[in-house]
Amino acid sequence: MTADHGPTANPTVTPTANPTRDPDRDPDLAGYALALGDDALVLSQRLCGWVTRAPTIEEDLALANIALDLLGHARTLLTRSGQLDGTGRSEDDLAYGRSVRAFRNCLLVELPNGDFGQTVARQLLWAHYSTLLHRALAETSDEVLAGLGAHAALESEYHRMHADQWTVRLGRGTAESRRRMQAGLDLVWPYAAELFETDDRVRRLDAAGSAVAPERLRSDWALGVAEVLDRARLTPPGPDRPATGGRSGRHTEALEPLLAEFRSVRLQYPGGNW
Amino acid sequence: MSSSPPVRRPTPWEVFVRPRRGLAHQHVGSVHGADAAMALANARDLYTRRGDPASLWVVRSDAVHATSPSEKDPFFSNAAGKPYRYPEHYVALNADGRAEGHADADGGGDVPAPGEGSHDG
Repeated sequence: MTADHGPTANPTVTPTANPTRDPDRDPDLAGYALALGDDALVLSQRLCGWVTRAPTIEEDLALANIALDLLGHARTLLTRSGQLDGTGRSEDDLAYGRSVRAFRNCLLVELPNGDFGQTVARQLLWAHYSTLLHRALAETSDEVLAGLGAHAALESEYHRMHADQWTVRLGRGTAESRRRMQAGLDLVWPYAAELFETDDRVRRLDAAGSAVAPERLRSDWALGVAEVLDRARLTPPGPDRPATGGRSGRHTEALEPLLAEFRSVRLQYPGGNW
Repeated sequence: MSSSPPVRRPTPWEVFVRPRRGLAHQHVGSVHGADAAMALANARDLYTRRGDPASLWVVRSDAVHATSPSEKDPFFSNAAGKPYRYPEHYVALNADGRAEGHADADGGGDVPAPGEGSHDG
């Protein structure tokens, strides 16, 4: 995931010498961190698809900046997951060395970019969620995850401002921009429900103070998104059959090509360093 | 759609970054934006990726009025040939009120009373 594998670049990637004796070992929390890390990694790679294709060069840079923030979140989360699960796998092991079925990201983040309206709609639903998630994560007990939450909350808040601004601009712009924004929203809307799915494992971690059960965030998320849609004069899509499956490894057909592209350079230059 | 704001084409904006409190905003470049909010967002992504800036200004480029290059000489000639406008022109005084490094009062005429030097029109 990084061109620089030097020990000073990210000291936390060093695998634990003896994983079985790691006092941090917590497979449940590892699975939780893995799902959050996969969300950030896959959305980062998705947004990179806009580079050289965005409507303006300024927007090109804005989306790439957001992608870079997400990559930073993914690095911390995957590294932590590798420590917590006791296998000592590095961030690169987890990012490059797993099958598609082993990815635990939600389906929302792997959706194709579509047009700019669709990407903005996905960013709107995602960033309102990630802002709430990171703020709550900052209050949890794992030092690494809490540290990430505190840091990432500010970045996510900017991602949310970016998405809000574009949602309102497109929703209140021309008839064409409004049509596309609404179409994008209608398309991504059913995938939001999965963000808030909470299984018993995460509920236990939440009760113990080490994770955030996303079901807690849902009402605040709904209020925040509704407020923006109202300002944008867009119609909130009605209740729909929620699309789900990513958290258990059942992905859309869009994920495999994305991962293949993400891994292509590493396959061509194994062990490459630059 | 009658209540929607008019759609504006992107126009150039000049960007000023204040690196930290206590320093003035400095011009760093320009961006395109349909309005101030978009220009600020674009400027944020282009010009504040490093460091921890204290504030950002954007000003529509057509609001900036500039001197023309052909008028450079008459406009700025008044800065030439006035060495007394530079602090190096003056000699520091020691505790006795004498110019440092000078035993006598030679050149004393070049040393103005405090405050006098700044009043140069």
